[in-house]
Amino acid sequence: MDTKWKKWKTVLSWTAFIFGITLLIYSSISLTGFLLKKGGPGQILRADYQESQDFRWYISNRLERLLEVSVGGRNIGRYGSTYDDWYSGGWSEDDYWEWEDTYWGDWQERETVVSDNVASVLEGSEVLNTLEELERLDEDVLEALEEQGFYGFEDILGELSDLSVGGLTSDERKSLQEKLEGVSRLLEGMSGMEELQKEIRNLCTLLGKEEELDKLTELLAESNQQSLDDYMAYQAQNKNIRYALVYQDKLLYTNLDALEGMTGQAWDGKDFYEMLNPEEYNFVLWFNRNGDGKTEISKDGVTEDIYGNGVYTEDSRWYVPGYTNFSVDDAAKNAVIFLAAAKEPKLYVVGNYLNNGRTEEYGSNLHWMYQNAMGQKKELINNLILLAAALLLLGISLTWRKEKKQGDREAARFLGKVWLEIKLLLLGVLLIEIFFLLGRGETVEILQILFTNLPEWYEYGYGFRDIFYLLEGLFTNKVFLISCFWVIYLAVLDIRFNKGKQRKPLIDGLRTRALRYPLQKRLVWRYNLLLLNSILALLLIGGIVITLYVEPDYIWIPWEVFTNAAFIILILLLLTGIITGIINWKRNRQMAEDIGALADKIHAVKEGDLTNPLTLPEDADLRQAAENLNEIQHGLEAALREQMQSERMKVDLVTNVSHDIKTPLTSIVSYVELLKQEENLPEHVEEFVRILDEKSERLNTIVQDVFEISKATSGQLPITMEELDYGKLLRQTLADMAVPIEKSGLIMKVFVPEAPVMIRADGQRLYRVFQNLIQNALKYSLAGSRIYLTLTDTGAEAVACIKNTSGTELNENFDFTERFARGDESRTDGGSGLGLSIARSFTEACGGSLQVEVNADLFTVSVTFPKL
Amino acid sequence: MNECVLVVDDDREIVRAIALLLEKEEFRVLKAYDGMEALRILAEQSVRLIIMDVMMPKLDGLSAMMKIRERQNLPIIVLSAKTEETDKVLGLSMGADDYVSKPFNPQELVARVKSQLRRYTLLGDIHAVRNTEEIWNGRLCYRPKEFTLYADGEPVKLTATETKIVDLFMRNQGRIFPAEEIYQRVWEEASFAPENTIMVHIRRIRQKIELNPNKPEYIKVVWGIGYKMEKMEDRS
Repeated sequence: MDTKWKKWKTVLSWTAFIFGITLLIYSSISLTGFLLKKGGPGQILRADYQESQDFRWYISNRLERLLEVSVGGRNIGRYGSTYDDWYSGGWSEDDYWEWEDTYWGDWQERETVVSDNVASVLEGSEVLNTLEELERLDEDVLEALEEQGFYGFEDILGELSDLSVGGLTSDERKSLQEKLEGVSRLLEGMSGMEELQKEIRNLCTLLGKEEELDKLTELLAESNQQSLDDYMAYQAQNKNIRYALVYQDKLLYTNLDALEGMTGQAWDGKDFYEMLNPEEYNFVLWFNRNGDGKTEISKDGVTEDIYGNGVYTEDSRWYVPGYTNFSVDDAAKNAVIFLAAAKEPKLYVVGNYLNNGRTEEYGSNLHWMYQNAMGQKKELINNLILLAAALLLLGISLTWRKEKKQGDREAARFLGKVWLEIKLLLLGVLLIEIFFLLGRGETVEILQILFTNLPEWYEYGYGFRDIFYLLEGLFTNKVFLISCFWVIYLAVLDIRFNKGKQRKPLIDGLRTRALRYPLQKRLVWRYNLLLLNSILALLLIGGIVITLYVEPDYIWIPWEVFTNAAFIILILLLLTGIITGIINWKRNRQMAEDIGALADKIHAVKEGDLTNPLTLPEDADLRQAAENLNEIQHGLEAALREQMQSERMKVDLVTNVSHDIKTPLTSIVSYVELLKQEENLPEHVEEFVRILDEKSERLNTIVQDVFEISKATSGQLPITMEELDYGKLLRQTLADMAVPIEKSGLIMKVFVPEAPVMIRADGQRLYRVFQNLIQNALKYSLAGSRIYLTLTDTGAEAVACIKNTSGTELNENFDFTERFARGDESRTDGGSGLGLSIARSFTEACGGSLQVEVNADLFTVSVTFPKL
Repeated sequence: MNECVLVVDDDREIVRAIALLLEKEEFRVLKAYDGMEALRILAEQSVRLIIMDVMMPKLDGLSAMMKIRERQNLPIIVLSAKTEETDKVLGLSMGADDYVSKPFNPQELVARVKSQLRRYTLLGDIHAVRNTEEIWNGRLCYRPKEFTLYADGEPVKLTATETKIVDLFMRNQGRIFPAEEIYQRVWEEASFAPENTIMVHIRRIRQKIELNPNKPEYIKVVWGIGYKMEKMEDRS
């Protein structure tokens, strides 16, 4: 398999995965919706609108209205009638809203027709006169009326009387009409027409106007009839429902084409359904066909069992009379209703160009019911196809899951190259998407609920429910959910495959780049940026505070929301300020620590500590400086190491040479000893032997001293430091050297305090120091002169001082502690010339210091140690 | 005495000089110039003591010494041009009885030979008479009841004061005494800065007990603190 095909497979499987998942989410959201619908997907697929609850309700409602019409019901077309019907149906809330959407149009039309009718009936009648009379009612009567519950009557009467006097202008008429509508509504509020008539009759009797009463009754009856006629005329236009109303064997209303013009005639029991094409109208309903007050329904020629066990319950399919617990009034028992519904309802449109130029639509409800059912079926099928496609694509990506995983990796690799800021920006886009999905109105509403009304909302138990309703849009939104999924999926990919390998955030890159610039430039930029930020924050705070103070008339969001938002912004700014402050504080502290570390390091290097390099964090401002210092330290260390190495080589050389000298020296010493033991040697030979003895001894001393001094100067001399009494050490040394001192003929003046002067040194080495110094003094002092040995306690230091008067002239500019140095170059007696040099080396090895001072012939050596 | 001493050194002149020095003291001297030769001679002849250089061809002194120690127990004095303390410690720990660094004082070497031999000869007797009433330190032995100090088995003639000092040191080997304390205990009176006085006595004692009084091994000055008697490792 060549690599090209493999690459294609990767692309294909990954693309299949992308589209598969997207389609799966898309279709499953829709399908979940269908699944939750009443009746489930099966019913949707059948697409039989007549099987829907909507349809059944519509039919039973029709039946009731027709029944009402057939008995001359007086409630048709009045406000709230349809509402009452809905309510008494005992349906769930969801159904109500659906019903409201579907039938609102119908109701509005009827309302207009009815009120027009009432107005025209009342206009010009003598009712107005009657009302005029009513106006003159005694106050007592009004009170009596009010007692019976006729509140507000008085006001209306007052207004009516004003209007009804004299000829009416068109405006006044219109106003009167409105008032009458008001009366009409008020009348509806009473328990019934009969009650109203009774009351009015009482009134008329009281006023002595019985003849007017009859006229009024007549008018009302006429008005009612007109309402029914208009209502039925309206219904007749809806050809999706074919009906025939028979009352007391007389055909009252019908919209069957075959029976046109036959209204008012007697019905001979003929089957109305035969007049229709069963293909076109497949649903038939008969009420009281056999005079038993029952309803028969058949669909596609099949009769339906409506009643079951005969008792109406919530679960019953049909809300129609005929159950044992659902009877009709006596009037209705004389009515026979025929009703047929179209199989595929159409929209019937009538252009009403003569009157108002409007087109009116009839039968829209059934038509939309049908259309909806068809549409839903189509949508369901489409979604099922999408689901199948999704599963197919997912199947493809599953069979090639290796390649799909490769695709994941490629995608992750791409994601790894993306700056963190861009990822965050995309996330921000998602948040903005939420904002737009909710819409500005909803967002403001949520803000309002959150910031202003929350406590109240919460108190009434609405808060969370309402927020939930507002958010519901989000969770059923396909685009939102799909983008959510992909954002999460890509984030997981990114985290899983690019752990720690993600491209550094842009700001890191900028920081790294900034590190290339000199330190001072960087710092200046940083402080400028800080200043700029502070100024911006202050401007924002200032703006908000001024706005709050001024309280302008117009602001694009509600004032309460503004103040709350302003409060939140101020809090956020405060928090940001605090956080920035802490970050800056931390950074400055870090910087201060770095500076301290750098200074310490410089000090340490100066003091000779060259071991530990100073490592500062990579992004530290002083990193470069620290690195430079490390390089200097490294260079120094290398130089020092080189020096040490050469010192060690020197010591090795001296060691080897001294060993090489010692072997022949051993022979010399031994044979000189043998010579010394020879007897009867000539005197001058004995003298030569003595000289040989002396010089070999001195050679030995020189070898020993050179060896020791080379070790001491290279720091290889073993030192055992201990606490000791400086004064005691001097006394011991003097005691030890008592013999040579005595022999020298010089006077030793000793001034050493009795109290211990404790110092820290290696006693053996320090003894060598003073032994050498005293030997030196004995050797070079002027004959018979005094040597002064003093020990001074200066508090912090102890200084031992040996002063002697030189026997020869001293060179003041001469360094007596140099190796092989001697004041008088020509001297050849004793000593190696290393005495002072050894004294200085040993003193320094013990942590003290040795100074030589020459003042004329006065030779002063002081050995100083820090006191304990 | 005619005791036989084996001198081993690759430097023939040194061997000859040592031989001459020892022969003057009536020792019989055998000479060897490397370790192998020394071993060969030891196998053939009866030797009472060996003086051996460390650095030699064929077989160096330390290795030869280890081989000798496998079979024989006799005093070995090691000679070396190395003077460092570590070399000395190494030599002694490898089984040397004494360590003398080059260039050595011929008198001292002879004294050390004599001392080692005397101890070696006395060893049997020493063990026989050794009892709790003797305090030993290296080649020194002190009998408190007799107020007598023995060096290599020979009684040392000490004055009363010197004996008191030796008594103090032998009873407290390794302990450092400030000069004031020594004075207090020996002269039984207080004194200030008696270093000089004490040093005079110590110098005299050293003359009597040390093999090389200029390089004392037993009574030492602890500079700036006091004096002590070094506690020698018991090699017998």
